[in-house]
Amino acid sequence: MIKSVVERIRQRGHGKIYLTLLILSILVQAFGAICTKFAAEIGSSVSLFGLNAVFLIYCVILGGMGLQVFLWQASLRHYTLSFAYPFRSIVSFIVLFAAFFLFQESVTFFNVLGLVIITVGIFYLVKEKELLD
Amino acid sequence: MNYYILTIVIIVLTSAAHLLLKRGSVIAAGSGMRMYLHPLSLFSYLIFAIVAFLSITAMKGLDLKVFFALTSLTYICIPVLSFAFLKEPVTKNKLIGIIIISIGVVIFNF
Repeated sequence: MIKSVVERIRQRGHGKIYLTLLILSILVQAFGAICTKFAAEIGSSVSLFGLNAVFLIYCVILGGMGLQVFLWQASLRHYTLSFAYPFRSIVSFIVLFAAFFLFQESVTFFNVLGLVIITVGIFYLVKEKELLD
Repeated sequence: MNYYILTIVIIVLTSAAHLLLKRGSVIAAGSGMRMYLHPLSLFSYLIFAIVAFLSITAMKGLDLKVFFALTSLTYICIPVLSFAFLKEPVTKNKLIGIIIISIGVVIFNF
């Protein structure tokens, strides 16, 4: 009895860790997209710590890609693809949010509706992937 | 217009890189860490690095939100290339997903 309770608590703890990894993976991906836009916005003549700023941001983006792949793979050890993959569409919403607040881009009703529809489409594709896995 | 063409190149390159990763992982299946160091996997990492550079260039002319919505077309490109090169079947769910994503991208850019 006590053993099964301890095991349940342990499993819940693991679940939280993997959910954190999944969310971190999404945040890193969104951060990479924002950095890419930032690198595109600043001029190539701008320097940081004596190095070209665009090059530095490019290195950060590449590092972020590596970290994102690591976190994503780690979370997939616990979650099925059909559960984890739709989370990636959250990145689009974070990016839309950042586009509005950080880069002063306009956000329309059709933008939000389009993203919701794209997310539904991803659900369908993932359904298929899960069957194949 | 050139930025849109560049974004399409990015989508195709990203999809091709995913296919190479898949091929590399299938060839090196069961060999543990070697899967990540297989030449096809290494080549796909190189493509991802090139894609990151090209994305910076594309975003010079495109809004962040537009670029990111367009890259959703990768979800369509991968099944199409998988069908063409890996002979993976195109099923009803895949077709429905592809159609819904296409509609979403069109509505996003309305």
